[in-house]
Amino acid sequence: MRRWVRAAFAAAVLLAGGFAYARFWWGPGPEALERQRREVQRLGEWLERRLRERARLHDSAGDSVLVGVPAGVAERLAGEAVTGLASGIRLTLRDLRFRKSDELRARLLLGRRSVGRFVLSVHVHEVRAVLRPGKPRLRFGNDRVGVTLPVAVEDGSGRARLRFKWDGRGMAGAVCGDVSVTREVTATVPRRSHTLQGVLRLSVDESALVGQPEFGDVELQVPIEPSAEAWRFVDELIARRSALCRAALAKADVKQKIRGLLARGVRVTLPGRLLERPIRLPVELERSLATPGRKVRVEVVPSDVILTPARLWYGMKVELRNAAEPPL
Amino acid sequence: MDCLGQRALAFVLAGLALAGCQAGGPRARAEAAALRRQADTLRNLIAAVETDEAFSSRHVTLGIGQELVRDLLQLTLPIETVTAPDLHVRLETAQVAFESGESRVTLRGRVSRASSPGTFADVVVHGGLHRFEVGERAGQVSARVALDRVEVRQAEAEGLRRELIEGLLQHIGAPSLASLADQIPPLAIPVRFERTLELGAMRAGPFEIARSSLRFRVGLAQVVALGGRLWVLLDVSAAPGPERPPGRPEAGP
Repeated sequence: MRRWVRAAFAAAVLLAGGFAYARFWWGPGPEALERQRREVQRLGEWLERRLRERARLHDSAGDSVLVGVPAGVAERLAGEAVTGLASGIRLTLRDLRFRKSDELRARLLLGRRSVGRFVLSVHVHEVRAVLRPGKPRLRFGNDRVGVTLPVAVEDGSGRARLRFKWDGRGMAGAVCGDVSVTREVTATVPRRSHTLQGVLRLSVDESALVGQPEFGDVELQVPIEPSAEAWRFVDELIARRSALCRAALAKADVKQKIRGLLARGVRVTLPGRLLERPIRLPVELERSLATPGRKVRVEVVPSDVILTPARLWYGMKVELRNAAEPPL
Repeated sequence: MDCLGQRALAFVLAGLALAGCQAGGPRARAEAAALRRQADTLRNLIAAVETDEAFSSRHVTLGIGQELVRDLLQLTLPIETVTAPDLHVRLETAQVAFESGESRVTLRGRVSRASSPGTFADVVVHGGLHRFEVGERAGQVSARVALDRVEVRQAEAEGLRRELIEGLLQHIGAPSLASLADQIPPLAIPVRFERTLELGAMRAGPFEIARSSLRFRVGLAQVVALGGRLWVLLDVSAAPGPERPPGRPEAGP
């Protein structure tokens, strides 16, 4: 019996010893370690190769910092920035004058004769509109991004003075007399789309990627549309006259004349320089660092912008210097 | 114990001793565990790259060279602290390597008895970078140094033996290494993300453009140490900024 107890005790000691050895002391031999090292190296090389194939990682050994912006992200950011550039452009036009005068002829009993002469003048005191950008189309190439940006002139409104003078002749003059009315009316600016063309020239300025927009001047046509109130005024003007006079004024087609006069609107030139505000992409290097007990200047030498099909890359060489040292 | 039992015990002990001679001991065991972790990290990264989750077409990529990170870390040195009873640690130089998915930080310095500075040992402290963040306000990338292993290189002493120092250093343990790492200030990588892009007001002829801004949201997606660079992958998106009171427009150029 005692023999069995001793054997069991020895087995327990062996088991505990073996467990402690395996748990706390045993380590793989040199060959097993070497196998593991080779496996890590193989996986690392595989990963780097796959990254170069798939993600088109660009590497420039001399650059301390590389920034890679995927084409999709660059397109989105550039698109949003360009849209931001052109959003909220307000147009204010003041003191615009339109005038149209003509003699009106109509077929009467004794042939075609002059029934009167009208003078229509519109004095636009002020009209305001807003330019709203649409979705830009971007084309990436080398160090620039081509931009086609639709903009619409909309949300326009203003005040105008409408003056209509009718100098009736012959029978129309006898039944209508002379008409001279003036009315303050409101007007709107109908929506009209235009296209801006330009480029976003990319460069690295100090430590940031900068897109410098370059747009040419664009001529915009801004039509003006009298409000419903203005049309009511014209209707009332005609309605108050006698039947013969109404027939003569109907020939004059005052509404169409007003519409035609204002529909051409005014031409204004949107200067390209208004959009040429540089856009700095948000990744930038700090120029100084404060560490306990010392202040460090960060010297940055930018390198080129490189556009691969997958990413836009730019790099910087960075050197850290004591703030007290003179700059390079 | 009878003769057979004694022989069996002796046989087993001899077997264990033989296995122990051929195996690598605790140091090899630690290296094997580190290699296993590294291989797992690499496999996960490969899977993420293959499924377009890492280095994808959504991420802005920052590649920061290991030399720059070393220089930045070096700026925070030397650090000195008294850790464990009577041990004075001074870390003086830093080495950084970004390879195979692992960021390795090696700090070299000296540990000495606070009470007897002539008794010292040169030490190498191994660790890595962790806790990467993009600052909410300043938009700066930062990381902390984590220390996980101490190695004694050379002991100069009044009869002090390397094993003794090693034993002592093992006593320092993880809490002491963590407190030593806390002495190292956060590593600030001097790359900043502007949260807002301001576009100034401008006027030209009948046109007037109000001051506007774009807000950028920047989120840290992943950090990968590879090929001598620390690749920081960021999710960046833009949105129009809040409405501002109209600024006084400046005349166009």
